[in-house]
Amino acid sequence: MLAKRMQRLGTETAFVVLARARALEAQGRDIVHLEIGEPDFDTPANIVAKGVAALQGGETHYGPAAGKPEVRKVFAEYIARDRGLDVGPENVVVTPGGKPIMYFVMTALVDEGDEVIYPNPGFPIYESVINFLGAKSVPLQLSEAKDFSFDIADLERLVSDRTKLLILNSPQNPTGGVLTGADLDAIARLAVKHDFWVLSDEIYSKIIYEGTHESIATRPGMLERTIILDGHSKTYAMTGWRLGYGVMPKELADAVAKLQTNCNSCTASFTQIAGAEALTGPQDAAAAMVAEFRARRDLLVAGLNEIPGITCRLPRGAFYVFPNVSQLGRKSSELESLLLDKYGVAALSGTAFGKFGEGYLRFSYANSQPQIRKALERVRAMSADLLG
Amino acid sequence: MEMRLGWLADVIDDSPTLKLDGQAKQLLARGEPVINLTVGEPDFDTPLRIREAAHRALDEGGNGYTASAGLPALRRKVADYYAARLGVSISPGEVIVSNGAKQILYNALSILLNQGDEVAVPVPYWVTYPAQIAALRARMIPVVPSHPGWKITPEDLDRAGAGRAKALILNTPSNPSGAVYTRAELEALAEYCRKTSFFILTDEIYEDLVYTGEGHIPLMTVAPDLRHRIVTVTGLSKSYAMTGWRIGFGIADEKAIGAMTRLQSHSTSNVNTIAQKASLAAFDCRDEVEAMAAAFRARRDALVADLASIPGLRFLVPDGAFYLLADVSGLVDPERPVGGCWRLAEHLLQTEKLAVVPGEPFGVPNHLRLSYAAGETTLREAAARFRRATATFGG
Repeated sequence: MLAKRMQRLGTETAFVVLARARALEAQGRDIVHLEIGEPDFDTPANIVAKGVAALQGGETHYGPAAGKPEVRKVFAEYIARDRGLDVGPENVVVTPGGKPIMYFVMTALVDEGDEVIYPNPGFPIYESVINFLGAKSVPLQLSEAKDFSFDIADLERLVSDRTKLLILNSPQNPTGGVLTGADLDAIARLAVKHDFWVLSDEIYSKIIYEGTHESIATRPGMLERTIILDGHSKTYAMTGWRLGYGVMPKELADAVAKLQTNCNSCTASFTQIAGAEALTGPQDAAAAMVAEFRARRDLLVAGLNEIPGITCRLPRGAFYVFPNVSQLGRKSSELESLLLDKYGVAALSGTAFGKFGEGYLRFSYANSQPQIRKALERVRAMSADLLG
Repeated sequence: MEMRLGWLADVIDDSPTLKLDGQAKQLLARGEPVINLTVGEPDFDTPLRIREAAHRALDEGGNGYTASAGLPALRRKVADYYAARLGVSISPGEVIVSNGAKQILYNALSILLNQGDEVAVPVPYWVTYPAQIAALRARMIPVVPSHPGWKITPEDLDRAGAGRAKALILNTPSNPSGAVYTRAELEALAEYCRKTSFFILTDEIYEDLVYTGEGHIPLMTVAPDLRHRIVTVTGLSKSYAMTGWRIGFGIADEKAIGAMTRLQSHSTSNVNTIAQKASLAAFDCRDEVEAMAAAFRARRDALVADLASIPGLRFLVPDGAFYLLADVSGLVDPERPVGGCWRLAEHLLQTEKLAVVPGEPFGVPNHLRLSYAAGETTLREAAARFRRATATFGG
């Protein structure tokens, strides 16, 4: 009955593990949640107040598909200021979350048979959407030895005359890796030389612990071939509001807006108004969240490195750690199940992020320090049992 | 750099209705006294209780991700409400919440259609149907009604060759015609469907805006035996004046809902959590819904009365939704029938500042669609402008 393309659709394991964890909790088990990529903070009060005012002020009607004009303007000004780019409202498309930018951009750009290079381990939706669209997914291995980055020669080897798009994600989910300025220079030269597009997923741009975030769009020849994906879910703890946006060349923005016109019309109006407030209002709540994430990161990484059989690099961004657990002698997927079922910690197998995630687990530290301490004790117990 | 977009970017067009809407808005921005009858949304505010529920949800916080298919409490509420309305038992697993009815349709067509599959669509049709079908590289079989009234019969389906289709889209009440199928008409169509194996996507988003004695008849109530092939498409936008909240509901077989959920988990994840929580209050607002429906009915009557005596204009009184589809072929120069509705729409906008939508994108050239989601005074003025413009229209 179902269309063939449905067989090519993967899944986002985080939500599967979350459902299993919830089922165990329903049986009375105590579970520490380190599986889901969702800040545990509430949305800052100034943003909430703006959302309430918007609803009271009648922001309950359709808006233009690409987003409300005043909101596109705010988002464009923010990206222009924050990334140092010459972009305007006509370059912005507002969507319900960051995922539609991935989905619509790839739908607009990629034909069957085209090749898309994507990071592996990486956010699983990339590979799944590439395959769904009938394009060829070409994994770019991020290796621990290279601090979860890659050599430019590794990338160049994967480029062919069918390469249409490269997906970058920095700071990265699941490894927390951050591309350096030199990486961006080299990737940009390659993109211009081989004439491919870059979808730069910068959703974690504000959750960075050393230096500041840079966009590849700032490199020569890149603004005209880059789609910046950003959004409010992570920085402003607004996951449930569903607000993301893309910044891209106008012709592509028009095509993406057309797709949205035909697929879901527009993004909720009151959410857009609240999202503009997030970028123009005070930033101290967002900064406090990053400070707390940093403390949790330090706690978690130090704790993991004390556990026999586990080594963990210090991630420079996002809110995930990706420890090497290969010394525990089990496949990552087995460790995921064991850790949840026997020890009560919900985490994800590295393979949830692609084949090159074997040997790793992903812990999200979007949970409190007491919960992280509890998780560390439990992981230590697992290690002791496995290593005897 | 030369922009190399994919195949799809060329195929999907802007919704043409939005293009004229844009022109009208430009005139409005210049301070011109435009009357805009192009819009597809109620002009009312969302009922207070729903807005208050959103306010509470915002104050309480905890508005993170929900399951992709929707908040369990909302899926249960939708299941219970529509079980009563559709006359069948519905479990929460047979419900998905999406970003408007449009995404329900897109999800449903995406999981069903392979390249080259065909979808039977009655004429006139909502412009989104052909756009989504084309986007999936499937083909539309237009089904033209052979009798006046904008409603198809089993014979029309047969003549169009709908039997070979993978899916049929029904839309009652209809955008753009306002036609409402009776129980007897739906029973006849259901009988045809029983002889086929296609899926039936029944778009019932205007279910609460019906002005006949019989009222809205959900397809499911006449064909519960076909429930595993029926996808009911609905939502809160039109009934509850919630267009900007983006809440659509799909009701279908659990397997189809599961596939739609998998797709949605990739394309958008869950719908806005605050809007979902607010939607829990919607089904308690039936008084407000009925009041809005009564207002639309009064507006329709006012518009119909004023347009009836315009020479050359012919139309059927719409039984539902908030659109009137007028045949303007009597106003168009018979020597050049092509593009007549576009010329008239432009003439109305330029000479009388009246914005309406040409019928061609809906599959009916030489027609215009007028939305009556506007106050009665505005509608009376609109009709007067229409009358004046027809007198100066060169065809």
